[in-house]
Amino acid sequence: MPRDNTTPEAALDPRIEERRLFQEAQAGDFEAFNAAALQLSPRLVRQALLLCGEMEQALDLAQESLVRGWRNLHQYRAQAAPFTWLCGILLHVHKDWLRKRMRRPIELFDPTAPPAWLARTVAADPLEPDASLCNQERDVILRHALERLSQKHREVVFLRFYVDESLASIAAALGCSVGTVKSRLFHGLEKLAGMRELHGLIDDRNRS
Amino acid sequence: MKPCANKRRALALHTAGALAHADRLDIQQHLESCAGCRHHLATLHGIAALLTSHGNQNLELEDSLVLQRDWEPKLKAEASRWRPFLVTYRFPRLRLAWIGLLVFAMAVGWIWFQPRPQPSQHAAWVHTPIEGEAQLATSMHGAPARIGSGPLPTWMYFPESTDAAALEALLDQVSLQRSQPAPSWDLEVWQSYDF
Repeated sequence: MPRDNTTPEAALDPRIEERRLFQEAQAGDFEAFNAAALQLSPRLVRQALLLCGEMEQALDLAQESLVRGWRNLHQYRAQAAPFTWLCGILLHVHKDWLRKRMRRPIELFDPTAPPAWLARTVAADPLEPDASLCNQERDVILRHALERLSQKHREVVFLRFYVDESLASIAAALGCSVGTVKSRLFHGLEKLAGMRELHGLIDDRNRS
Repeated sequence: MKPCANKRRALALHTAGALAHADRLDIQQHLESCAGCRHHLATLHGIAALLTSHGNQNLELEDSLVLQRDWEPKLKAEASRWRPFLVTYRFPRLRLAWIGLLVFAMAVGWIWFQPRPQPSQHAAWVHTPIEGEAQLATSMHGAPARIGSGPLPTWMYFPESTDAAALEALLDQVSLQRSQPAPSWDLEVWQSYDF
């Protein structure tokens, strides 16, 4: 049943409404969590898609994040935005997914089948397949660069630059101090700066 | 061109917008005179811009409807599975109490079911006025035993039989002979007796 207890303040800032729903859910109200999840799920899927690059996987990751979110709701603290907190869980789910993917046997290449990236490229922008292909290549390089970071560094870099969260909110979502977040940001950015493939992307971006 | 080692952290935090106002002014002043730091900052800004633009790109998400249809039953199943433990959701410290109770129960069980040590030998500790090994053997009516010296001036009497009843009867007999009461005794532990 849809809930309609939205206050005027909550209508102005959806975060207030999300926080309220999370607090009600913490008191054992499953419907409140369900309502919050309905609001947050599209954004969560979007972040999952940025992380893994496949829609089907993104849906699985988001679903697993929501289930784990419900299971660990007692750990949620009101200082963090619910979405940021769920993104923190999403990053852990993504880490598990990466680990499973490492263990998965390599799929044999089928030369007769059309490559999936080509179908996606044409579908994404049939008029400018080259630009679309460049974007996809950039996405793959960035995802790969993020995957090469350690979990702690990936968390803060992702939450800062992808989710665009404040340092205080990231610290609250991850359960650490702002100083720790700053330190992880520094090390994460330094590692990214050391990756040669990103320098090529920066040059391309500057040229365009 | 390498950046200054002591400015790297400030440059990274400047890129992330996490630098305090005074520090920002300080690093901007430094940048005017340091080409290495300027170059490094440009790289960091480029990375930040790449990440941000990657995060802000438009994605087709019609399939989120599939998500809503898909995950709700799983979430509900999860909710019903965890409902009995909701009290621990509300009071997470109760978990510690549960764990403590479990550990306590396990410790009690372990102690309770521990196999009890069996006595390997019974001993009679004989004090003076029995003055020698031969006199002790006589007092014990020649019962089969090994007699050894205890802490002076005592003797240790180790009956060969571990039969408790037989040993008790023997001790009673000796007590009667010496007109002294027999001590009470317990078979569970190594015993010493004086009479």
